[in-house]
Amino acid sequence: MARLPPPIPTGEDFEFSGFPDEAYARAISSRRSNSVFTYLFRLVRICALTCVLGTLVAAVFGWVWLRDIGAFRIEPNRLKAITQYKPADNSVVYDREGKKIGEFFDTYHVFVPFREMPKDLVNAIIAIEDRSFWTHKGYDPKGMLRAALIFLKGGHHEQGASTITQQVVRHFLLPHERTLSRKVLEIALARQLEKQLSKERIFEIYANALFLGNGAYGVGAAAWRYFGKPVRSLDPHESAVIAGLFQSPSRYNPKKFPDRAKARQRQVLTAMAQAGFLSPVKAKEMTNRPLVYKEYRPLNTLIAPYFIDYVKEQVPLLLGEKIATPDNHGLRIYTTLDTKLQGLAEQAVSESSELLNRAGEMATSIREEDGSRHQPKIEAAILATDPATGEILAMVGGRDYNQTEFNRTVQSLRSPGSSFKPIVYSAALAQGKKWSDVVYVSPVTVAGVYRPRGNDEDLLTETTLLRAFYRSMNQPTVELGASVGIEKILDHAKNLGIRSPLKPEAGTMIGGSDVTMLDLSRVYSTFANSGTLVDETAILKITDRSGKVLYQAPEVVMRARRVVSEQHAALMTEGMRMVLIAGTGVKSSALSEMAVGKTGTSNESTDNWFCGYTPALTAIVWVGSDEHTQLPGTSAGNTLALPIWDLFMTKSFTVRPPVPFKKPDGIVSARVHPRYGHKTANGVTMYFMRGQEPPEEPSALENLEEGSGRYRDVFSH
Amino acid sequence: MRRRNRQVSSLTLSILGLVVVMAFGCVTRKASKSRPLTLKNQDPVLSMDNLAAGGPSNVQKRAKPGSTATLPKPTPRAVEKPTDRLTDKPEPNNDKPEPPPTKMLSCQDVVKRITGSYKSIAALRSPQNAGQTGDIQKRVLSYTASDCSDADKRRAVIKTMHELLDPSEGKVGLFVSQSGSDYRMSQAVIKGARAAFNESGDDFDKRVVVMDTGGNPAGAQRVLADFVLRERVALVIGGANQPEAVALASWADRLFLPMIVLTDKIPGVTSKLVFRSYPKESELATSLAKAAQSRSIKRIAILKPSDGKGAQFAAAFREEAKEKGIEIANELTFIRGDFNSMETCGKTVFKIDVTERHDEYEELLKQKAAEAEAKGQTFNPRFVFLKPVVDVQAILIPDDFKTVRHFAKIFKYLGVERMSLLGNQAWRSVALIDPPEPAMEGSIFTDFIGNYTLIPQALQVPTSRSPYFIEPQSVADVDFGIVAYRAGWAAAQSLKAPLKVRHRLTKNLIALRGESKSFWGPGPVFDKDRQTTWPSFVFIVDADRITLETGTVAH
Repeated sequence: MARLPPPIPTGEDFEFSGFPDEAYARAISSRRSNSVFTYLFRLVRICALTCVLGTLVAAVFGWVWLRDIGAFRIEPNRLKAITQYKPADNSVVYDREGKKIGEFFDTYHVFVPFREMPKDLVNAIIAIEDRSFWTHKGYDPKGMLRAALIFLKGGHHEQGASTITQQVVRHFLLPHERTLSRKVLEIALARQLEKQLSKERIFEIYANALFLGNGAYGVGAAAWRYFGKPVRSLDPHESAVIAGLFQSPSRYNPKKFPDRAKARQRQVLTAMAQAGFLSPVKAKEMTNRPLVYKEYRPLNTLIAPYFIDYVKEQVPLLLGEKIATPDNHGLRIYTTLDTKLQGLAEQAVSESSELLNRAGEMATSIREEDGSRHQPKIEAAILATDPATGEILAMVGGRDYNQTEFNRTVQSLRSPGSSFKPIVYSAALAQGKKWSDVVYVSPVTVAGVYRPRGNDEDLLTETTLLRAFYRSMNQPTVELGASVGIEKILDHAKNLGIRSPLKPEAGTMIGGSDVTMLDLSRVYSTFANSGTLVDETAILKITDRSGKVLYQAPEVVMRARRVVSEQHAALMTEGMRMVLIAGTGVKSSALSEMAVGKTGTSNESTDNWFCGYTPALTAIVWVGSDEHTQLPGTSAGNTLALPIWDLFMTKSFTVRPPVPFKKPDGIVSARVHPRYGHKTANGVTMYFMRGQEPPEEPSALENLEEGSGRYRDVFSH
Repeated sequence: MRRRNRQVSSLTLSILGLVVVMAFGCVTRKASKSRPLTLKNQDPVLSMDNLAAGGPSNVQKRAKPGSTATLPKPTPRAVEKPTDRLTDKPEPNNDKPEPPPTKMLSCQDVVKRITGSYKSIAALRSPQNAGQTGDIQKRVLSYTASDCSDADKRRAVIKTMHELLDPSEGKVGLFVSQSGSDYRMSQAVIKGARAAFNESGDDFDKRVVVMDTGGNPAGAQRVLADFVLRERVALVIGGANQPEAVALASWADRLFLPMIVLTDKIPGVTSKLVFRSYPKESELATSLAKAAQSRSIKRIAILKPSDGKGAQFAAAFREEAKEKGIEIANELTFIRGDFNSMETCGKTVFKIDVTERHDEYEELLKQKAAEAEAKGQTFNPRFVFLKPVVDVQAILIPDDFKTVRHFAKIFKYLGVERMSLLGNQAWRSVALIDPPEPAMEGSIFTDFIGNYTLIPQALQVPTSRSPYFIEPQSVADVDFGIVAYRAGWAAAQSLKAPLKVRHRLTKNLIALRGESKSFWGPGPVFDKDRQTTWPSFVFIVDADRITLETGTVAH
């Protein structure tokens, strides 16, 4: 006799713990009937009751569960991440003619509107991912059942159980764990999403937002990364590859697993055929087509990689707190880069490889530690600017961006050597010195501690300032600078655009303080621009993706200031012309009609410079090694940097034809003896402020030279 | 008129002389066939005997006053018939107060020596000029010993000789080199001489015959031959370069020809017929030494170029300095234009020798290295120099302004910011002070020209910056022009006094005194060495000018 359960307690000490168990039911029923029929009837009744009760219980539990997971309370805002989806967009960099030359992104996106997607691509995705996409309401019961059956049979499903809508929901809103609750919620959200967005929009989001491997998000990005072309140019068999990536981008990555990708493509094409998007024959034909993957080369590294880096650094500086980095901000950055000049600059460097490699071989040294030979990598950099506007036109920060991203035009502080001398001479000319002033070239010491080296051949000779300048003599420069005053020289250098800190010591006058190429570019551009310094800029304008202007470069007039008189700038230009005609740059004398410049070699010949300009273009060329290795045989800066500068400038004339330098009022020219500073028909052309012309009468020094080397040697011995 | 009077006077004397000679001939013929021709000669150097003895090199040795070793003593008879035209009276020579004994030459000796000399010089003439010989000279050249065989012939010979040496026509030969590098100097010489003659009231073009020597001794001798055989000059001026001067001077005694050479030294020549119109380097050195002494300079170094230029000046200075109690600490030689050589001189003078002061240098290296480390600077031993030891108060550099400027900078490089430098006329150029060289302030130099506006008017050129500078291309012209001017003036003045024989012009030259307002001032024109007297000027170098030191102009 089964014992009756105790009466159901009531009150706070007890809680309802469920239905009476089976034994309890049997006990009750045994009290009422003992007949078989009755038993059977009871059994049926019990079963039915149990089913009903079970269903009820299940329904209650299901309801509670669904309520808990939020399936009944899907607020419109919950889908906001999808409905208000704004496709991530790279910030794009354009050259001065509006050509795209770079892009900034954290994740690589190339947004493609649905209307621009090729039909084959859409069909391929539909076929392999959600064949009933256009008809279902967010979820596909048949598909789910089919997937479940296949799963139970232990097979693999060709189609996922999730619809495209569900995948969108999952991608944006749900965690990636595989649980029933997530699945149910996914269905619920998908159904809701279908109510809010059109099928096309959902597909568009799906096709653009999902990661497809190799750093690409969306079909547009994938098309570039795998096939190197826009999505509109994809062939159907290529679209099939991309469509196959949605399920598992890493597993089917064509770059890493081309065989898997091919197999997946076959599946997609088969699915397309099954779905009626392709005829079986066409599908087979597509399958047989070879897949040609393009090596992905980021755009940023293709045209002006160092410049793109520089622009990326500049954007936050220009936009202030608004944007810490331009990545994926959809900015449109319009730069000053002249792609043609950039190409010519790159070409000039690459065509000089033999020269640079040879220099590297000459600089090969033996390591003390192990006796091994060490050949330094000789680097070269070019910075080209428009002196009239300060716009950076070309920037080559090194020979190979893939090997080193260090931008030597703006990041490298190097000794300018003699390329600093125009600053000293221009300060002296402004103080009233003139090119024909005579200097006795002897060793000099400054403050008894600094003894610059020079060319021994020049010692105990006499020279005009111009000749000392174009032959790049150190001692006269230091002497001249000392007469002007080091403080004044440093102030003048700052005015001319040197932003790097300069050491207040005599060595600075011959390049003892490190500067950047950009520093020197400002200086030489000032002379090229008739004495007016225009602050450099690489960016003309920045807008957001809607075209709203976030930054506009100030007008040139706002960035310009006169730092040298027009006349003195012209004197410097003519002085630098002599560098090419008769000085250390004479190897490029053919350019002297159009361009001028100055060589520079740092102490110990670790840096080799040529800085030159036309009125339309300033070009600074540096050659050296990042290890500051001495470059043998490069004493005058004309062995490495000058040939590259020559190459670049000559090529540049096709893009920026040279124009004559202005000859301002107030300067006059005269033929002057280069050593003794008096007028002579056989002399070199020197320019002077009007009224400063030298005398006609020969110097006594010339008497010394032209006679027997004697002067007033009247007594016989 | 004066000239005509002189000519008349000369003519009278010639006739008188001829009479005397004839009488002399008679006497001698009576006395002895081989009686020598008597010549009264109170200056052995000018004596016929000495001339016959050969070249100038032997002149002094054999020309001691009173020496008659090879000549017979003169007889009273011979003296009573003086052949004035071939006799020289005592000169008013201060250094030779004792009149030398009279010497006599026989006709044969006269022929042998004068004709011989003329034949010798004639042999040097260029063939195309051989026909251009004066009548008198032709006669002289034609004489042989047989022309002394009888009295008539002897008289004729002596007469011819008198005519030959008669300076009454008073032509002056001017040697110049009109070609090559000497051309400009020659133009300056002509200009200077022309100015002198013209300013002396003479006519340069009539008085002076200018001929081109080609700038070499042989050419000079060819010209000399033309001067004596064609022009019968009374005096020659020239020899602006030493080889020419030596070549010419060697003929002075043999040809009885006074010469004013335009050079300061003619080695081996002591002929008293040879005068020199030139400043004296030793005088300049003396002035400089005096200037140094006045600055209480006690210790000096001398740096002189290796090619010998300036060596004489340095030697003269050294002697003078010793006399004045100035010590010469170093006397070093440098190679002009060679930095290492010049720097070594500086290092030696200032005792910057790493090997000699090795310990001190090592200590200094350590000290500088530590200082650099403390300041975080890179230590470069190249910048470490021993401190100079400056124990001289001045350095004499008898070289040009260029060398001295470079030296000043080398001294600065060695750590000597300022040093008094001493120099000579080769310093004087605008280039010495332009651009200014502060290290040279207070330096001094001497020159034989002071204020350029005070030199003879005809030689003046535009000055540059101050009266002490002229344009460099004019410097040599003025230097040589003023030397030639001095010679021309002396020649012109000497020819003004009447003379019977040309070699007596020396008397006039020695007696000459300057004009008080002239550049050279009053006083004898030639000193005891037969060299023109010349003032010396001391200049002080300031930052951007030179100034003439007051009271140091020495005559």
